[in-house]
Amino acid sequence: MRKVVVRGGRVIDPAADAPTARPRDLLIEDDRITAWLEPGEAVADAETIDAAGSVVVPGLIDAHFHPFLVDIDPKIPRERHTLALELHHALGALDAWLGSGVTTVRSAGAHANHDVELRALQRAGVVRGPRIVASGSLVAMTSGLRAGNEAISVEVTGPDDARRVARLQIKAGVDQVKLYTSSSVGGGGGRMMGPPGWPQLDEDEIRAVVEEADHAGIPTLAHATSEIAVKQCLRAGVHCIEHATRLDDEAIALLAERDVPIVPTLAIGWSLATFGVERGFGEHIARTAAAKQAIGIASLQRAKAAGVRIAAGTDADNSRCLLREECRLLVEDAGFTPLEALRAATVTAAQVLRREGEIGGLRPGYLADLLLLDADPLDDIRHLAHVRGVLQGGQVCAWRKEASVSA
Amino acid sequence: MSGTVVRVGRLFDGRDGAVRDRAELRIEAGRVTDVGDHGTLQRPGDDLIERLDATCTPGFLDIHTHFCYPIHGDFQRPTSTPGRLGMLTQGIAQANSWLQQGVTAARDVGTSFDLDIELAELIAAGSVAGPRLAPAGRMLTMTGGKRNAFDHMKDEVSGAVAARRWTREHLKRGAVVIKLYCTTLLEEDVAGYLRRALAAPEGARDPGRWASLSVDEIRAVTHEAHKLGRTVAAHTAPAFGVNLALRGGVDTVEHGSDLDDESIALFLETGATLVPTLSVSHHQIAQEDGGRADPVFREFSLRRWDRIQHNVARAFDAGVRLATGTDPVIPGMEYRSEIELLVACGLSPSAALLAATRDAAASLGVFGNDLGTLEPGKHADLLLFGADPTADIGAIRDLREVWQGGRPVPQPVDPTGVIQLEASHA
Ligand SMILES: [Zn+2]
Ligand SMILES: [Zn+2]
Repeated sequence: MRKVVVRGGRVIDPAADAPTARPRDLLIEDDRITAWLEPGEAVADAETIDAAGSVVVPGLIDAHFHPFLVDIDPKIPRERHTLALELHHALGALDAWLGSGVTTVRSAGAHANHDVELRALQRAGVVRGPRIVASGSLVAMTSGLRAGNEAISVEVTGPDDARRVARLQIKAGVDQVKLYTSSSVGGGGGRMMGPPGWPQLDEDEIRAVVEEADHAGIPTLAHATSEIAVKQCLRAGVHCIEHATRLDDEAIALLAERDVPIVPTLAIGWSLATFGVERGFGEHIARTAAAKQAIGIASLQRAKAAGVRIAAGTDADNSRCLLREECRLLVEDAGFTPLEALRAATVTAAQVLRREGEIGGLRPGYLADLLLLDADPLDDIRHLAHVRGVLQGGQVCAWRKEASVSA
Repeated sequence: MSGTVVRVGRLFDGRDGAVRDRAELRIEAGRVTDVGDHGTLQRPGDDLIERLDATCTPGFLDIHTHFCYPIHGDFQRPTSTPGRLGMLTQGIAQANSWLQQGVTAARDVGTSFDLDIELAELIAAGSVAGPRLAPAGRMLTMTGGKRNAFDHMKDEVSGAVAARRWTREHLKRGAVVIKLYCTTLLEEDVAGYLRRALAAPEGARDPGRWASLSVDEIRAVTHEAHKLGRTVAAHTAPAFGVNLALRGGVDTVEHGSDLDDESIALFLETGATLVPTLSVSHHQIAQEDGGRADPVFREFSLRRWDRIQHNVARAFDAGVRLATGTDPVIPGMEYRSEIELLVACGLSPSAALLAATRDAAASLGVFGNDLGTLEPGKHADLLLFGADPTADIGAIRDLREVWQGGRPVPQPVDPTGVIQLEASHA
């Protein structure tokens, strides 16, 4: 058995009641944390990882990620994307996320179930990256996604069809089933475009998918951007709501009552508003993103006040749209405390993935996923950007060149 | 425009197999502009790289690779997503590894789903480090030539017109070379066939039940490819198949475990190249040590190995052009052994090096025009060795530097190693 002690750091366990950075050494055996040690406590036959001067937090969990949508030049038309080009960018994105301290991602959809295959390559030790929790193709209504974007979905009409597709997805090995239940707030193009947030899949179709997921013991998540779509999903038993951009009092009450978490994905709105023009999306998209963001933040604040659980996710579309930006936006734009933001990216995200007790905390029994920071993120959430090293399952997977450490 | 002068102890430029002392190369914009004696080429503003202990050769060419072939998996896996990402991941890794071994250009002869065409684009764009790649995409075979419905490495045709149409379509898909799977064994009892083959007298016709592309089908393909300056590679096993392929005008014959007198005559008449893929046959013997239960497989592999060695010597002595190709479809293979095995078959080190450079490039049509030798106008793809491999072929294991396009190639990429983080403004 390989033993490692992470020594000299100040450790934050966000699952604790009132977490602070306290001096503590961590004993890791193979891939798990097995004990909290007093600083300096001796352990026979253990390697040491020097964390002196660092604040140690759990590896972050991005609850809404798309490995195959990151950074591909929007000027390359989708029909010219080869799988090799997509893989090249996916590996780059996974590296960027891992290097920023994200040790697990929930893939909220990938065409042709390619995230399932990528997960298999990770398990085979062929490629590195945040541990992928895969959704595969989205279940969408016939003609649901915009022309050019359909490849990420399997389209269904009627509950029988939805059930059939859910069964096939489960057989293909997905960790959860993703539903696409509304158009996006703020629009887009195409002949099927309705008013912002118009509902797409019907409740009976959603319910059929949820039933099949429940049989398999896996969760569902639903892209739902408006109150009407969110309410349908909740009545049908969906386990997690993505985006939740526009919510009314009734939707918020239902979310709270059924204790269904939301993943607001502020990062993508910020990214489109900030980098949209330079990335070639045009003024209109950037402006719309900013307007949509304001609606989303207002909904988020009301949901939070009602006690709805919130997990952090980026909906990553480029390599600057990192989870640390999501945490920063939760604090700076939505009024979260740094601790609340850190919990959204660890404890609550782990719950959403049904991996609580295994990831998202730093205590005995958890996987040894951890992030060494130069300064305390509870003082300033921007400290998440100062990464000294990342461990995943007890292995160092990213480390800063010490030669270039500068104050 | 300023350039770079690489001054070396000895130069094997690949034109004729000779080595000249105290030579230097001048490189500009990725290509060789001049070759001369020490101290003759440097212009104002040029960088000078001195490697006075080194012997320089052109970069090697491996003209029989399958970078995306799922060595560790099964390409016939009957699922809706047959491991394409896995194949690509391996393709990237193998392209990296071959480049580090000095292979600066390669011909990839057959890949499921045309993935090598996609890989070649990534390499050409500089996104992935690897040999300049001439991809074949999927192969063409005759009706019945696929192993089963999940064999995505091949398309089947019957008839010259169908073959012509397929070739036109496949060239548009991006194939730089056409790979023909010319003969296929249609035997249910393979061990039984091998026993018959081993028992057959020397020089007798192969006793197998074979399907083969016909001469007119092959000719239709070579005609279409040659119009574009592209070339055709033929996988064939028995001698009659080799002869059909050669009469059909193919540019290279792969494997060549069975050649008769007519084959040798046809090679000489058509100018085609033999790519004996010694590495895979040699590796297979080691692989079958203690492998399959029926000893006939190993016995046959050993006999085939004898025949290939004999055929290589015979073809070389007759003046047939030879080129290096490894056929790396078994775990643990490498490029360099192909050159060493050519020497083991009786070629001189410098003849083997020509098979790895000039003669391999000469088999590739337009794609090979700027490859294979170090002379003005060619790509500055070069290797620097610690000793002279024409004196002792063992020196190819002392490879010090690999240059591609006038630049040292980047360090190998480890897709599972530790990510180096940049310092932030802490
Ligand atoms: Zn998404
Ligand atoms: Zn081959």
